[in-house]
Amino acid sequence: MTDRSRLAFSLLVLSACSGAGTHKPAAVVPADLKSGGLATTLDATSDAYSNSISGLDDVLAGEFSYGHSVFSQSWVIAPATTSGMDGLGPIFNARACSTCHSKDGRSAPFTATGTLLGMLFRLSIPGKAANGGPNPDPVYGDQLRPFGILSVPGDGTPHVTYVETPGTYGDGTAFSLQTPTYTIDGWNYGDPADGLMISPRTGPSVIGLGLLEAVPEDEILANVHPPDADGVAGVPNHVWDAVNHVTALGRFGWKANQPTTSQQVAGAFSGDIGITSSLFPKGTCTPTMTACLSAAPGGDPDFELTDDRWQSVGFYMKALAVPARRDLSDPDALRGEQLFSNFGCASCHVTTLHTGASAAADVLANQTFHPYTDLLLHDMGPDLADGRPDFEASGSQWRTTPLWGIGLIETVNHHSFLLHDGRARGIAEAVLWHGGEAATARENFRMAAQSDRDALLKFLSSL
Amino acid sequence: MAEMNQKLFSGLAVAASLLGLAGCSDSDANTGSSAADRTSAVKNYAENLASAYADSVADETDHQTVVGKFLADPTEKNLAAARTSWLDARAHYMLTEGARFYDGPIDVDTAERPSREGLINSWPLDENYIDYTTDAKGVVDETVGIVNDPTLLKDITASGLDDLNAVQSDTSISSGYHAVEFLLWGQALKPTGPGERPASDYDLTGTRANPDRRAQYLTVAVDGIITHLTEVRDAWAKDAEYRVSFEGDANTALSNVFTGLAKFSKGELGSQRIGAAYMSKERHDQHDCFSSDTLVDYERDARGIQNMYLGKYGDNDGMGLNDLVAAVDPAEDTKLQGMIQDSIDAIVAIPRPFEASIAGADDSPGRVAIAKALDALSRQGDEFAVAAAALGYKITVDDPPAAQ
Repeated sequence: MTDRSRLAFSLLVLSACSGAGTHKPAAVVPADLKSGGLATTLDATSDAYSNSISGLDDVLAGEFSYGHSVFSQSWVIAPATTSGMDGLGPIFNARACSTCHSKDGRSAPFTATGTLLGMLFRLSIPGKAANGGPNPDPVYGDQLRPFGILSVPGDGTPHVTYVETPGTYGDGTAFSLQTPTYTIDGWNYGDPADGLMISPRTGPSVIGLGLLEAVPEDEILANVHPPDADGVAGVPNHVWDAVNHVTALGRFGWKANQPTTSQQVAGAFSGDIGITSSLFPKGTCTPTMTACLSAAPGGDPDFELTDDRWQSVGFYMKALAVPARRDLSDPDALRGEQLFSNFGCASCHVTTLHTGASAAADVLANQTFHPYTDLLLHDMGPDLADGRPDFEASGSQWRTTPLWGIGLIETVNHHSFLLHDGRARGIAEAVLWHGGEAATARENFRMAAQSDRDALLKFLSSL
Repeated sequence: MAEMNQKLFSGLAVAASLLGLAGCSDSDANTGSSAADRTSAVKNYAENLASAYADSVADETDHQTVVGKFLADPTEKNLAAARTSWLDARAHYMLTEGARFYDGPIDVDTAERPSREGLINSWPLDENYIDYTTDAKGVVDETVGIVNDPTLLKDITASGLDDLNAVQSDTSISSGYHAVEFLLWGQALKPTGPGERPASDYDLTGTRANPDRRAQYLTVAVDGIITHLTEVRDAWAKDAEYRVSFEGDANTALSNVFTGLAKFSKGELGSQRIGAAYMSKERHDQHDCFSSDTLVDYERDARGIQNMYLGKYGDNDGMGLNDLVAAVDPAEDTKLQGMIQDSIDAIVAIPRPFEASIAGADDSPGRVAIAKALDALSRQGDEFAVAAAALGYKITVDDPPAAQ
């Protein structure tokens, strides 16, 4: 008997013994080390998210290094002697990609003393923009930029307060969830328009994006279905493709509001750092921001992020490998994997997807991999809702977050804040926040025996 | 950490066959060279590394004295002496850098404390996070940076600088060798050559704002380097907990040592320090952009790799990795030794200064020479994995580390 068949056998035995919940469990495949298929790295150190996929030729390896360098570096105020990296702001959220995606992972939303760190606030007012997206505030646009370069004030200052809400597990064990309240004050360019909607979002880890981009649309859409017995549905977002000027399937971002990594990258440079590109050549100052408009632009005459830098960061994003799953023979972790299915988690956190062709790199093509997402939108209930629509995503819908690499966040980033705004302190709290379509799965977890809850967490920590 | 690495590398044996990551032999970790030889090589490596960190602490302590003299009497002559002493103080540290990327004492970070490497040797850095800068139009902004803006840091202390290191981004660097380098040389405003900060920046009666805070910054930044180097030195001291655990498991240690040499060769020195600059043509993408001493660093880094492979440091020439590899595969040892020498020669052949060589057309002598060094380091990194495999250790190399 090979190791693999023995493992499968033990899982079958286990699945016959458990069976929580009303959900019809998805079949559990034998535990697979290769979370990212051939795009898997065995690094489980503090650099675990920063590895390139293997098999890059010299040209692509150079592209990756260059992309890493641009991703890590701070942009500076123009005109600087470092002409390639100037043009920060004039108003901005962060100075570098790595501010919010520290070590290619997740930054904590705020520092211990409450200073904004790896978080941004999307803004909009009721209605839709011409491209079907959120309707920007006439003065502040679609995102709060709290900082400005010298002599240019930022938009305003965000604050968060938390209120603890106690709860209990089925066995009587107490837990507490912290409910955030966000406020923005010190608006420097007058009051925002009536009905302003605010959506707080942390920067997620950026591993495995090349795989997610190479999943054929048909495979993603095959998981779209009407509500099942647990009320789990799943719908796609359709968003604006600014490169091709068409509506396209959304894959990336907390609400699946970006169709490609390349567009996401250019959008983040523009919105977060205030860096213009050939895709988004206009700055983010609006007509009444006079100091902002009069600040010196950086870099090239037309825009600040040269196309070769944009391309290199785009490739870097696609070529970051996924950490291998660990604890493959740990009986608790394997039992947790079965419970993940039994509880209904795997209905949305789909274990396995496949890539078709990949324009980025051969290693990404035709892979079987385990992101634990369906890339679809789900209603997560009123407690997690941001109340701000984003293309076809409602104010209570979020894209299923990939879970690969989740067990290494503490190793890489030294914190355990999860969910779109980092409110959850660890995986258990993140599960307990689930509502809406995920309410049944959450209750299956909450009502389970402590040993089962621990097993589930052990499994998730092995990803 | 030892436990973590054991888990990782026991996973590697399974992984290599599944992923086909390494074309390794199937020999286990105890064939070929004897267990005693392996332990001896590990002990020799640790002893050499301990000596190199001890020398680095001594170098930096000498530098501290010279900086103290400069600040007491900020003349151009004393500034020149402080700069020379900074260059000298890096000589031994560069020889340690092949011992990276296995979460050893230099790299390990915790929730409470970032890695010592990050605090000691981070680059590239934003000048205006530290002190005034001159923009492309020649306008000086004397209000920016920790030196000039007390809201960033009221009292400049070593721990205060550590807390601000890399807070805003990976390049908002406040501490370490390169922060000191900037404080001594200033911005390099000409296309090539070092910066030309005047000694009067530190003159309390001079015209530049905040000479007292600048002097305080320089003092405590040097103190911080000594503190963190000392911590690393002490972790490698004979009988120290890390050293004992490292020497107690020779196979894990050797896997780590080969991993460090491979990743440092290919990912760090190759891709990040040389490759990124080759791609961007930005002088900021070189290690010592303020002192224009980059190629000296890179040569020392490469010689440090060679030392570690041969088991040499200073006058000591003990059991090396080369001896272990030669015992199982003499041809592989010869090949790897040749590659290591080739990469040193290729770095030495790059015309100085580095910032002049990275500019220009791809067929210019400078860029051709840099491309050759890059290629040599990349192949050398891969070859370390082949040599490790000959000893039964399956390591992965294609994991460019984060730039620090």
